[in-house]
Amino acid sequence: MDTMLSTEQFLTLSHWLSPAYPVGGFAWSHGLESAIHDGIVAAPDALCDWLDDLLAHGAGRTDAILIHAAHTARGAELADLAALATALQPTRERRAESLAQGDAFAAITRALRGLDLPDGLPYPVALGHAAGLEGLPPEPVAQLYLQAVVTNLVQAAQRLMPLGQTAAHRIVAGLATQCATVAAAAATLGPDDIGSAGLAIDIASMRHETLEPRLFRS
Amino acid sequence: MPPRAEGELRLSARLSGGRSRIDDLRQAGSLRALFPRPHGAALDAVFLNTAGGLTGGDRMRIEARAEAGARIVISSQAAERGYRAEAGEGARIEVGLAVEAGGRIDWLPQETILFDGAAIARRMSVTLAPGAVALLAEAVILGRTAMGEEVGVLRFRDRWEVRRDGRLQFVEALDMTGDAAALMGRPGIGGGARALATVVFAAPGAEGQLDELRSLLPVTAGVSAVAEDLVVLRMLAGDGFEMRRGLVPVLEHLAGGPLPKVWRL
Repeated sequence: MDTMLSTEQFLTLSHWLSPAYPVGGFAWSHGLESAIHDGIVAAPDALCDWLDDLLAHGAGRTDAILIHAAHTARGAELADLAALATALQPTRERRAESLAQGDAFAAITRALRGLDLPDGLPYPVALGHAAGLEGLPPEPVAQLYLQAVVTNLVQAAQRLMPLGQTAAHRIVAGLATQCATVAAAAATLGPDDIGSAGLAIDIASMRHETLEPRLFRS
Repeated sequence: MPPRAEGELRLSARLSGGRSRIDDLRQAGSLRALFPRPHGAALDAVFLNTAGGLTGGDRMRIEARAEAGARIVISSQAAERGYRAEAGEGARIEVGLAVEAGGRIDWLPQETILFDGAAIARRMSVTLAPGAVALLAEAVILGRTAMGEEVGVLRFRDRWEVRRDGRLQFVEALDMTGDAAALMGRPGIGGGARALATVVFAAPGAEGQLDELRSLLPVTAGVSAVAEDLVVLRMLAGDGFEMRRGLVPVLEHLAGGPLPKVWRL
């Protein structure tokens, strides 16, 4: 599939995944707050490894596949994909994180582009579906989505552990290749290929439910 | 190359005279079911794989149905062993559990021990009527630390689909393919653990179990209610012994009593 974007498409995609797009990503830490609290992520190297695991073995890999599948799914197939995407989340907070951002994305994108984007879609499904309606190729959407996930979590980490700007952005830049690799692999995969090994990441999300005090909703 | 092993087990139970009794039973190939004397009203079923382990090309299928009001507690005679498989041919395990209204299935097989080079793909489909209950637990141990076994390359895929009243409620999609020791050493994956377990408890009011379950868990485990009637638990442990120490109290709490005797042999 042609992954080149026209100028307009490039700017649309960049807007949709800008930290300023009102999706509310800054409120969620995917359990990272708990992992830092428990000492699992105690230094920049561990943070980089944890995020690498999220991309290659956790929600990153799953979401990239969902974006691609949502790109062409319509009607009942889209509803089934949304149900699958939600059911794949093993924790209450991750379901909330995914659905809240999905609804926020759908609301602003409907208002701006007049797209037929229903509520109740998990974020990667809403994003992939919108990209399909707009004719944006899915692979760059997945690439930028993954980098936005990484950036959001690195910024969350900066509020939770000693992590200066240079070190933080060294992590983001260092994971760019993995974002591209995961997005490329997803282009050849479908929902039946979804599989994750992010066990400690899942447990951190579960343990986050009882973390007090907390800055993040997940 | 040894001939591949195939096994099939079909079991259904119904409520009769206040006890759960076998309604239908079919056994074929290398899967057998034993029925120890029950100590409660539930039907206790213990399956065993007479092939003595799983290797490439093996196919195992277990289907169990609890009719209205009936309860089946299913365990395994011994820990399953996943041995080295030839490239391209893994072992396939398929489990189908169906629970009718007011019925219950406790799926409590003993651990699966994966050895170096094992390739296993497991699928479990659970369909629950309104008011039905299911307790599902699967533990996987990577090699046996006491024997100094290291697990290198693995192909392990495990997929569960839990449906309540026709609606997809929970999907487990575990994929541990590659250098298992390296993967399990990573902070987002195993954090150095060599044993992993997932427990799902699907029952009206399951969410009410959270506080008690949390009090039983080590720091390498977590539990969450993804719905009022569905709780998911994940546990990591250094080895099989530590896993049992963490898992058995949880399972006994959710099962409402001691685990099947085979667990203590």
